Amino acid sequence: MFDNYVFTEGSARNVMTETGESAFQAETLITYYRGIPLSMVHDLQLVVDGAEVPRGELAISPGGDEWFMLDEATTVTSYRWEYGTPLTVRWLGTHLSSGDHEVTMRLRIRVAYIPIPFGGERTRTITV
Amino acid sequence: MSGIRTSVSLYSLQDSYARGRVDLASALAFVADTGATGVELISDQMIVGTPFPTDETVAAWRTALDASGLAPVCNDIFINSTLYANRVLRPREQLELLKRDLDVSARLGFDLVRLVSDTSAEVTLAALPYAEGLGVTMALEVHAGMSFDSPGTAGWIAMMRAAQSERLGLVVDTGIFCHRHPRVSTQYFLGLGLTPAVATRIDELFAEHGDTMRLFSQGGQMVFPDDLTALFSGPVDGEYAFFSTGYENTPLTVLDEYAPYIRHVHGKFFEMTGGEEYSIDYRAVVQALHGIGYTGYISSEYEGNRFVPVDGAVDDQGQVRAHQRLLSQLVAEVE
Repeated sequence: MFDNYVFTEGSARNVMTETGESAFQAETLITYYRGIPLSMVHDLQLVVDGAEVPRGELAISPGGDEWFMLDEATTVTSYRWEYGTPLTVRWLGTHLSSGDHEVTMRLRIRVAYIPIPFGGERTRTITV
Repeated sequence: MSGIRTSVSLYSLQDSYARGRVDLASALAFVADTGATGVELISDQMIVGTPFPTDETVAAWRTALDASGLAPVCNDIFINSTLYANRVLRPREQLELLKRDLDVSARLGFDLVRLVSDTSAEVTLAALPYAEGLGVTMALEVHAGMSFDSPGTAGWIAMMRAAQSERLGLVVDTGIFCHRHPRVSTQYFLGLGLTPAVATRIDELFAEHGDTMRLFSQGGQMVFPDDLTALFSGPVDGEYAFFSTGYENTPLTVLDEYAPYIRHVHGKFFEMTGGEEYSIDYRAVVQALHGIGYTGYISSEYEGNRFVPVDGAVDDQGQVRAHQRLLSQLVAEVE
Protein backbone atom coordinates (compact mmCIF):
# COMPACT_ATOMS: atom_id res chain seq x y z
CA MET A 1 0.00 0.00 0.00
CA PHE A 2 3.08 2.20 0.19
CA ASP A 3 4.79 0.82 -2.93
CA ASN A 4 4.28 4.17 -4.60
CA TYR A 5 6.89 5.70 -2.33
CA VAL A 6 9.65 3.17 -2.89
CA PHE A 7 12.56 3.87 -5.25
CA THR A 8 12.14 7.39 -6.62
CA GLU A 9 12.04 7.58 -10.39
CA GLY A 10 15.16 9.11 -11.89
CA SER A 11 17.17 8.86 -8.67
CA ALA A 12 19.48 5.96 -9.60
CA ARG A 13 23.01 6.82 -10.69
CA ASN A 14 26.71 6.16 -10.18
CA VAL A 15 28.45 8.61 -7.85
CA MET A 16 31.79 9.22 -6.18
CA THR A 17 31.38 9.44 -2.40
CA GLU A 18 32.82 12.22 -0.25
CA THR A 19 35.76 9.91 0.50
CA GLY A 20 36.43 9.21 -3.18
CA GLU A 21 34.84 5.77 -3.27
CA SER A 22 32.70 4.61 -6.18
CA ALA A 23 29.08 3.89 -5.38
CA PHE A 24 25.76 3.27 -7.03
CA GLN A 25 22.90 5.08 -5.33
CA ALA A 26 19.14 5.49 -5.44
CA GLU A 27 16.56 7.28 -3.34
CA THR A 28 13.30 6.31 -1.66
CA LEU A 29 10.58 7.99 0.34
CA ILE A 30 9.41 6.40 3.55
CA THR A 31 6.76 3.68 3.32
CA TYR A 32 4.71 5.29 6.08
CA TYR A 33 3.07 8.61 6.93
CA ARG A 34 5.41 10.07 9.53
CA GLY A 35 9.10 10.41 10.30
CA ILE A 36 10.91 7.80 12.39
CA PRO A 37 14.28 7.33 14.06
CA LEU A 38 16.63 5.61 11.63
CA SER A 39 16.83 2.50 13.84
CA MET A 40 13.22 1.70 12.88
CA VAL A 41 14.29 0.94 9.32
CA HIS A 42 13.90 -2.81 9.73
CA ASP A 43 15.40 -3.90 6.46
CA LEU A 44 16.41 -2.57 3.09
CA GLN A 45 17.37 -4.70 0.14
CA LEU A 46 18.72 -3.84 -3.27
CA VAL A 47 18.62 -6.40 -6.07
CA VAL A 48 20.57 -5.51 -9.20
CA ASP A 49 20.14 -7.61 -12.33
CA GLY A 50 18.83 -10.51 -10.28
CA ALA A 51 21.56 -10.54 -7.61
CA GLU A 52 20.94 -9.24 -4.09
CA VAL A 53 23.54 -6.74 -2.92
CA PRO A 54 25.26 -7.94 0.28
CA ARG A 55 23.79 -6.13 3.29
CA GLY A 56 27.27 -5.17 4.47
CA GLU A 57 27.84 -3.10 1.33
CA LEU A 58 24.78 -0.87 1.76
CA ALA A 59 24.85 2.54 3.44
CA ILE A 60 21.91 4.87 4.00
CA SER A 61 21.44 8.53 4.74
CA PRO A 62 18.36 10.70 5.16
CA GLY A 63 19.40 14.15 4.00
CA GLY A 64 22.92 13.16 2.94
CA ASP A 65 24.94 14.70 5.77
CA GLU A 66 25.53 11.53 7.81
CA TRP A 67 25.91 8.01 6.46
CA PHE A 68 25.31 4.72 8.25
CA MET A 69 25.94 1.14 7.19
CA LEU A 70 22.69 -0.83 7.57
CA ASP A 71 23.91 -2.64 10.68
CA GLU A 72 25.05 0.66 12.20
CA ALA A 73 21.63 2.17 11.50
CA THR A 74 19.98 -0.36 13.83
CA THR A 75 21.28 1.66 16.81
CA VAL A 76 20.72 5.16 15.41
CA THR A 77 17.89 6.51 17.56
CA SER A 78 18.59 10.24 17.62
CA TYR A 79 18.89 10.79 13.88
CA ARG A 80 15.49 10.93 12.22
CA TRP A 81 14.31 10.09 8.76
CA GLU A 82 11.92 12.98 8.35
CA TYR A 83 8.67 12.49 6.47
CA GLY A 84 9.00 13.74 2.91
CA THR A 85 12.81 13.57 2.98
CA PRO A 86 14.34 11.10 0.51
CA LEU A 87 16.54 8.38 1.99
CA THR A 88 19.59 7.79 -0.16
CA VAL A 89 20.76 4.19 -0.44
CA ARG A 90 24.33 3.56 -1.58
CA TRP A 91 25.92 0.34 -2.78
CA LEU A 92 29.51 1.10 -1.84
CA GLY A 93 32.48 0.10 -3.95
CA THR A 94 30.57 -0.34 -7.17
CA HIS A 95 29.75 1.49 -10.35
CA LEU A 96 27.13 -0.11 -12.59
CA SER A 97 28.25 -0.58 -16.17
CA SER A 98 26.81 1.56 -18.93
CA GLY A 99 23.49 0.39 -20.27
CA ASP A 100 20.21 -0.89 -18.84
CA HIS A 101 19.87 -2.60 -15.46
CA GLU A 102 16.92 -4.02 -13.58
CA VAL A 103 16.99 -2.73 -10.01
CA THR A 104 14.61 -3.70 -7.19
CA MET A 105 14.44 -1.87 -3.90
CA ARG A 106 12.64 -3.38 -0.89
CA LEU A 107 12.07 -1.42 2.29
CA ARG A 108 10.52 -2.52 5.57
CA ILE A 109 10.05 -0.50 8.74
CA ARG A 110 8.87 -1.35 12.26
CA VAL A 111 5.83 0.35 13.75
CA ALA A 112 4.71 -0.12 17.33
CA TYR A 113 1.04 -0.85 16.74
CA ILE A 114 1.42 -3.12 13.70
CA PRO A 115 2.60 -6.61 14.65
CA ILE A 116 4.95 -7.25 11.72
CA PRO A 117 7.37 -4.95 9.87
CA PHE A 118 5.83 -3.64 6.69
CA GLY A 119 6.85 -1.58 3.69
CA GLY A 120 6.94 -1.90 -0.05
CA GLU A 121 9.05 -2.66 -3.06
CA ARG A 122 9.58 -1.36 -6.53
CA THR A 123 11.46 -2.60 -9.58
CA ARG A 124 12.67 -0.21 -12.24
CA THR A 125 14.71 -0.60 -15.37
CA ILE A 126 17.34 2.11 -15.24
CA THR A 127 19.85 3.30 -17.76
CA VAL A 128 23.36 4.18 -16.68
CA MET B 1 -28.09 23.71 14.88
CA SER B 2 -25.44 21.46 16.35
CA GLY B 3 -22.39 22.53 18.30
CA ILE B 4 -20.29 20.03 16.38
CA ARG B 5 -17.34 21.61 14.56
CA THR B 6 -15.20 20.30 11.73
CA SER B 7 -11.46 20.04 11.32
CA VAL B 8 -9.02 18.34 8.97
CA SER B 9 -6.29 15.95 10.00
CA LEU B 10 -3.09 16.60 8.12
CA TYR B 11 -2.89 12.80 7.86
CA SER B 12 -5.20 13.40 4.90
CA LEU B 13 -2.55 15.41 3.08
CA GLN B 14 0.34 12.97 3.53
CA ASP B 15 0.74 12.44 -0.22
CA SER B 16 0.50 16.14 -1.04
CA TYR B 17 3.20 16.85 1.56
CA ALA B 18 5.51 13.97 0.61
CA ARG B 19 5.30 14.90 -3.06
CA GLY B 20 5.82 18.59 -2.43
CA ARG B 21 2.37 19.79 -3.52
CA VAL B 22 2.03 21.53 -0.13
CA ASP B 23 4.33 22.60 2.64
CA LEU B 24 3.19 23.07 6.21
CA ALA B 25 1.99 26.66 5.73
CA SER B 26 0.11 25.97 2.51
CA ALA B 27 -1.38 22.82 4.02
CA LEU B 28 -2.86 24.93 6.82
CA ALA B 29 -4.11 27.51 4.31
CA PHE B 30 -5.75 24.71 2.34
CA VAL B 31 -7.47 23.34 5.45
CA ALA B 32 -8.87 26.77 6.27
CA ASP B 33 -10.09 27.13 2.68
CA THR B 34 -12.16 23.94 2.96
CA GLY B 35 -14.34 25.63 5.58
CA ALA B 36 -12.89 23.67 8.50
CA THR B 37 -12.23 25.68 11.64
CA GLY B 38 -9.67 23.37 13.21
CA VAL B 39 -6.64 21.34 12.29
CA GLU B 40 -5.22 18.07 13.56
CA LEU B 41 -1.48 17.58 13.33
CA ILE B 42 0.87 14.62 13.35
CA SER B 43 3.96 16.29 14.79
CA ASP B 44 6.13 13.36 13.65
CA GLN B 45 4.96 14.05 10.10
CA MET B 46 5.37 17.76 9.50
CA ILE B 47 7.28 19.24 12.44
CA VAL B 48 10.94 18.71 11.63
CA GLY B 49 13.05 17.56 14.57
CA THR B 50 10.16 16.23 16.66
CA PRO B 51 10.20 15.63 19.57
CA PHE B 52 12.85 18.34 19.93
CA PRO B 53 12.02 20.90 17.23
CA THR B 54 13.97 24.13 17.37
CA ASP B 55 12.32 27.26 18.68
CA GLU B 56 12.41 28.58 15.11
CA THR B 57 10.48 25.53 13.86
CA VAL B 58 7.86 25.95 16.57
CA ALA B 59 7.60 29.69 15.83
CA ALA B 60 7.10 28.96 12.12
CA TRP B 61 4.27 26.54 12.96
CA ARG B 62 2.59 29.07 15.23
CA THR B 63 2.92 31.83 12.63
CA ALA B 64 1.35 29.64 9.94
CA LEU B 65 -1.36 28.48 12.34
CA ASP B 66 -2.21 32.07 13.30
CA ALA B 67 -2.30 33.09 9.65
CA SER B 68 -4.73 30.26 8.88
CA GLY B 69 -7.10 31.18 11.70
CA LEU B 70 -7.46 27.47 12.55
CA ALA B 71 -7.80 26.10 16.05
CA PRO B 72 -5.15 23.52 17.02
CA VAL B 73 -7.52 20.67 17.82
CA CYS B 74 -5.40 17.58 18.38
CA ASN B 75 -1.86 16.31 17.90
CA ASP B 76 -1.46 12.63 17.01
CA ILE B 77 1.45 11.05 18.84
CA PHE B 78 3.12 7.63 18.92
CA ILE B 79 5.41 5.79 21.28
CA ASN B 80 8.20 4.21 19.28
CA SER B 81 8.32 1.09 21.43
CA THR B 82 9.88 -0.79 18.49
CA LEU B 83 12.86 1.54 18.42
CA TYR B 84 15.20 -1.45 18.45
CA ALA B 85 14.90 -4.61 16.37
CA ASN B 86 15.81 -6.97 19.20
CA ARG B 87 13.43 -5.85 21.94
CA VAL B 88 10.40 -3.79 22.88
CA LEU B 89 11.01 -0.76 25.07
CA ARG B 90 10.20 -1.28 28.74
CA PRO B 91 7.43 0.78 30.34
CA ARG B 92 9.83 3.27 31.94
CA GLU B 93 11.52 3.85 28.57
CA GLN B 94 8.14 4.28 26.90
CA LEU B 95 7.14 6.76 29.60
CA GLU B 96 10.08 9.00 28.74
CA LEU B 97 9.13 8.98 25.05
CA LEU B 98 5.52 9.80 25.89
CA LYS B 99 6.59 12.74 28.07
CA ARG B 100 8.66 14.13 25.18
CA ASP B 101 5.66 14.00 22.86
CA LEU B 102 3.46 15.65 25.48
CA ASP B 103 6.09 18.40 25.73
CA VAL B 104 6.23 19.03 22.01
CA SER B 105 2.43 19.00 21.78
CA ALA B 106 2.19 21.69 24.45
CA ARG B 107 4.91 23.75 22.75
CA LEU B 108 2.90 23.61 19.51
CA GLY B 109 -0.23 24.84 21.31
CA PHE B 110 -2.24 21.63 21.69
CA ASP B 111 -4.17 20.68 24.81
CA LEU B 112 -5.26 17.32 23.36
CA VAL B 113 -3.18 14.43 22.06
CA ARG B 114 -4.38 11.29 20.32
CA LEU B 115 -2.63 8.21 21.65
CA VAL B 116 -2.36 5.56 18.96
CA SER B 117 -4.22 2.28 19.49
CA ASP B 118 -2.28 -0.24 21.57
CA THR B 119 -0.72 2.45 23.76
CA SER B 120 -0.05 0.87 27.14
CA ALA B 121 -2.51 1.67 29.92
CA GLU B 122 0.33 1.34 32.43
CA VAL B 123 2.48 3.87 30.60
CA THR B 124 -0.42 6.26 30.13
CA LEU B 125 -1.30 6.14 33.82
CA ALA B 126 2.33 6.76 34.76
CA ALA B 127 2.36 9.85 32.49
CA LEU B 128 -0.92 11.23 33.83
CA PRO B 129 0.53 13.54 36.51
CA TYR B 130 2.90 14.96 33.87
CA ALA B 131 0.04 15.52 31.41
CA GLU B 132 -2.07 17.12 34.11
CA GLY B 133 0.81 19.44 34.91
CA LEU B 134 1.08 20.48 31.26
CA GLY B 135 -2.69 20.77 30.85
CA VAL B 136 -2.73 18.22 28.03
CA THR B 137 -5.44 15.56 27.69
CA MET B 138 -4.41 12.08 26.49
CA ALA B 139 -7.12 10.34 24.48
CA LEU B 140 -6.79 6.81 23.14
CA GLU B 141 -7.86 6.20 19.56
CA VAL B 142 -10.61 3.62 19.23
CA HIS B 143 -9.83 2.34 15.75
CA ALA B 144 -11.31 -0.39 13.58
CA GLY B 145 -9.44 -3.62 14.11
CA MET B 146 -8.82 -2.56 17.71
CA SER B 147 -12.24 -1.31 18.73
CA PHE B 148 -13.94 -1.26 22.14
CA ASP B 149 -13.92 -5.03 22.61
CA SER B 150 -10.26 -5.68 21.82
CA PRO B 151 -8.27 -6.54 24.96
CA GLY B 152 -5.80 -3.64 24.71
CA THR B 153 -8.49 -1.02 24.18
CA ALA B 154 -10.75 -2.52 26.86
CA GLY B 155 -7.86 -2.55 29.34
CA TRP B 156 -6.99 1.08 28.60
CA ILE B 157 -10.64 2.10 29.04
CA ALA B 158 -10.79 0.27 32.38
CA MET B 159 -7.74 2.29 33.49
CA MET B 160 -9.42 5.50 32.28
CA ARG B 161 -12.63 4.77 34.16
CA ALA B 162 -10.72 4.01 37.34
CA ALA B 163 -8.46 7.07 37.12
CA GLN B 164 -11.37 9.51 36.59
CA SER B 165 -9.17 12.32 35.30
CA GLU B 166 -10.30 15.11 33.02
CA ARG B 167 -6.99 14.58 31.26
CA LEU B 168 -7.95 11.13 29.94
CA GLY B 169 -10.44 10.36 27.21
CA LEU B 170 -11.16 8.70 23.87
CA VAL B 171 -10.85 9.56 20.18
CA VAL B 172 -13.43 7.61 18.20
CA ASP B 173 -12.41 6.77 14.63
CA THR B 174 -15.48 6.42 12.41
CA GLY B 175 -13.84 3.51 10.61
CA ILE B 176 -15.59 1.43 13.30
CA PHE B 177 -18.91 2.35 11.64
CA CYS B 178 -18.36 0.86 8.15
CA HIS B 179 -21.51 -0.69 6.72
CA ARG B 180 -19.60 -2.18 3.79
CA HIS B 181 -16.06 -2.86 2.67
CA PRO B 182 -14.39 0.13 0.93
CA ARG B 183 -14.40 -0.57 -2.79
CA VAL B 184 -11.22 1.47 -3.39
CA SER B 185 -9.40 -1.12 -1.28
CA THR B 186 -11.00 -3.94 -3.27
CA GLN B 187 -9.98 -2.34 -6.56
CA TYR B 188 -6.44 -1.86 -5.30
CA PHE B 189 -6.05 -5.48 -4.23
CA LEU B 190 -7.62 -6.73 -7.48
CA GLY B 191 -4.78 -4.90 -9.20
CA LEU B 192 -2.33 -6.86 -7.05
CA GLY B 193 -3.86 -10.19 -8.02
CA LEU B 194 -6.72 -10.64 -5.55
CA THR B 195 -9.05 -13.44 -6.65
CA PRO B 196 -12.34 -11.75 -7.65
CA ALA B 197 -14.39 -14.50 -5.97
CA VAL B 198 -12.66 -13.71 -2.65
CA ALA B 199 -13.62 -10.03 -2.98
CA THR B 200 -17.21 -11.01 -3.70
CA ARG B 201 -17.34 -13.44 -0.76
CA ILE B 202 -15.94 -10.80 1.63
CA ASP B 203 -18.68 -8.40 0.51
CA GLU B 204 -21.25 -11.14 1.12
CA LEU B 205 -19.84 -11.84 4.59
CA PHE B 206 -20.08 -8.13 5.41
CA ALA B 207 -23.72 -8.19 4.37
CA GLU B 208 -24.46 -11.41 6.27
CA HIS B 209 -22.56 -10.70 9.50
CA GLY B 210 -22.23 -6.90 9.64
CA ASP B 211 -18.47 -7.08 9.19
CA THR B 212 -15.74 -9.71 9.01
CA MET B 213 -14.00 -8.85 12.28
CA ARG B 214 -16.72 -10.41 14.41
CA LEU B 215 -16.71 -13.49 12.18
CA PHE B 216 -12.96 -14.04 11.82
CA SER B 217 -11.75 -13.03 15.30
CA GLN B 218 -11.81 -16.04 17.59
CA GLY B 219 -10.01 -15.89 20.92
CA GLY B 220 -7.45 -13.38 19.68
CA GLN B 221 -6.75 -15.38 16.51
CA MET B 222 -7.87 -14.69 12.95
CA VAL B 223 -9.68 -17.75 11.64
CA PHE B 224 -11.08 -17.62 8.12
CA PRO B 225 -14.15 -19.77 7.30
CA ASP B 226 -13.58 -22.79 5.09
CA ASP B 227 -15.88 -21.51 2.36
CA LEU B 228 -13.62 -18.45 2.09
CA THR B 229 -10.24 -20.20 2.19
CA ALA B 230 -11.51 -22.61 -0.47
CA LEU B 231 -11.47 -19.62 -2.82
CA PHE B 232 -7.86 -18.60 -2.01
CA SER B 233 -5.44 -19.01 -4.89
CA GLY B 234 -2.55 -16.71 -3.90
CA PRO B 235 -0.96 -14.80 -1.00
CA VAL B 236 -2.91 -11.61 -1.72
CA ASP B 237 -6.19 -13.38 -0.91
CA GLY B 238 -5.30 -14.07 2.73
CA GLU B 239 -3.85 -10.60 3.10
CA TYR B 240 -7.05 -9.06 1.78
CA ALA B 241 -9.16 -11.20 4.11
CA PHE B 242 -7.01 -10.10 7.06
CA PHE B 243 -7.17 -6.41 6.13
CA SER B 244 -10.96 -6.66 5.75
CA THR B 245 -11.15 -6.83 9.55
CA GLY B 246 -9.87 -3.26 9.63
CA TYR B 247 -13.37 -2.05 8.73
CA GLU B 248 -15.76 -2.73 11.56
CA ASN B 249 -19.50 -2.18 11.71
CA THR B 250 -20.08 -1.25 15.34
CA PRO B 251 -23.64 -0.20 16.27
CA LEU B 252 -23.78 3.58 16.72
CA THR B 253 -25.45 3.03 20.07
CA VAL B 254 -21.97 2.30 21.43
CA LEU B 255 -21.53 6.08 21.56
CA ASP B 256 -24.15 6.35 24.32
CA GLU B 257 -22.03 4.42 26.79
CA TYR B 258 -18.83 6.31 26.08
CA ALA B 259 -20.30 9.79 25.60
CA PRO B 260 -18.70 11.30 28.73
CA TYR B 261 -15.25 10.28 27.56
CA ILE B 262 -15.27 11.22 23.86
CA ARG B 263 -12.86 14.12 23.39
CA HIS B 264 -12.49 14.00 19.62
CA VAL B 265 -13.68 12.16 16.51
CA HIS B 266 -11.68 11.05 13.50
CA GLY B 267 -13.90 11.30 10.45
CA LYS B 268 -12.27 8.41 8.62
CA PHE B 269 -13.13 8.21 4.95
CA PHE B 270 -11.96 6.15 2.01
CA GLU B 271 -13.91 7.39 -0.98
CA MET B 272 -16.17 10.38 -1.44
CA THR B 273 -18.50 9.68 -4.31
CA GLY B 274 -21.59 11.64 -5.30
CA GLY B 275 -21.29 13.71 -2.13
CA GLU B 276 -21.38 10.66 0.16
CA GLU B 277 -18.82 8.34 1.71
CA TYR B 278 -19.01 4.90 0.15
CA SER B 279 -18.64 2.84 3.33
CA ILE B 280 -19.73 5.10 6.18
CA ASP B 281 -23.19 6.61 6.67
CA TYR B 282 -22.11 10.03 7.89
CA ARG B 283 -25.67 11.28 8.27
CA ALA B 284 -26.27 8.58 10.87
CA VAL B 285 -22.88 9.24 12.52
CA VAL B 286 -23.47 12.99 12.87
CA GLN B 287 -27.00 12.43 14.14
CA ALA B 288 -25.73 9.96 16.74
CA LEU B 289 -22.97 12.33 17.88
CA HIS B 290 -25.48 15.16 18.12
CA GLY B 291 -27.77 12.84 20.03
CA ILE B 292 -25.20 12.29 22.77
CA GLY B 293 -24.55 16.02 23.02
CA TYR B 294 -21.13 15.93 21.38
CA THR B 295 -19.83 19.43 20.67
CA GLY B 296 -16.22 18.69 19.74
CA TYR B 297 -14.60 18.39 16.34
CA ILE B 298 -14.87 15.79 13.61
CA SER B 299 -11.57 15.68 11.72
CA SER B 300 -11.59 14.60 8.09
CA GLU B 301 -9.11 11.73 7.91
CA TYR B 302 -8.63 10.51 4.33
CA GLU B 303 -7.30 6.99 3.99
CA GLY B 304 -8.15 6.30 0.37
CA ASN B 305 -4.71 7.64 -0.53
CA ARG B 306 -3.11 4.26 0.13
CA PHE B 307 -5.42 2.48 -2.31
CA VAL B 308 -4.48 4.51 -5.35
CA PRO B 309 -2.85 2.25 -7.98
CA VAL B 310 0.94 2.53 -8.27
CA ASP B 311 1.77 5.70 -10.20
CA GLY B 312 -1.87 6.85 -10.01
CA ALA B 313 -2.65 10.42 -8.95
CA VAL B 314 -3.80 10.93 -5.35
CA ASP B 315 -6.59 13.52 -5.21
CA ASP B 316 -6.32 13.98 -1.47
CA GLN B 317 -7.23 17.66 -1.58
CA GLY B 318 -10.34 17.10 -3.69
CA GLN B 319 -11.43 14.27 -1.43
CA VAL B 320 -10.95 16.38 1.70
CA ARG B 321 -12.96 19.24 0.23
CA ALA B 322 -15.81 16.85 -0.61
CA HIS B 323 -15.75 15.37 2.89
CA GLN B 324 -15.79 18.79 4.51
CA ARG B 325 -18.76 19.78 2.33
CA LEU B 326 -20.62 16.69 3.50
CA LEU B 327 -19.79 17.26 7.15
CA SER B 328 -20.81 20.91 7.08
CA GLN B 329 -24.16 20.02 5.46
CA LEU B 330 -24.87 17.32 8.03
CA VAL B 331 -23.84 19.44 10.99
CA ALA B 332 -26.14 22.20 9.77
CA GLU B 333 -29.00 19.72 9.34
CA VAL B 334 -29.08 18.21 12.80
CA GLU B 335 -31.36 19.80 15.34
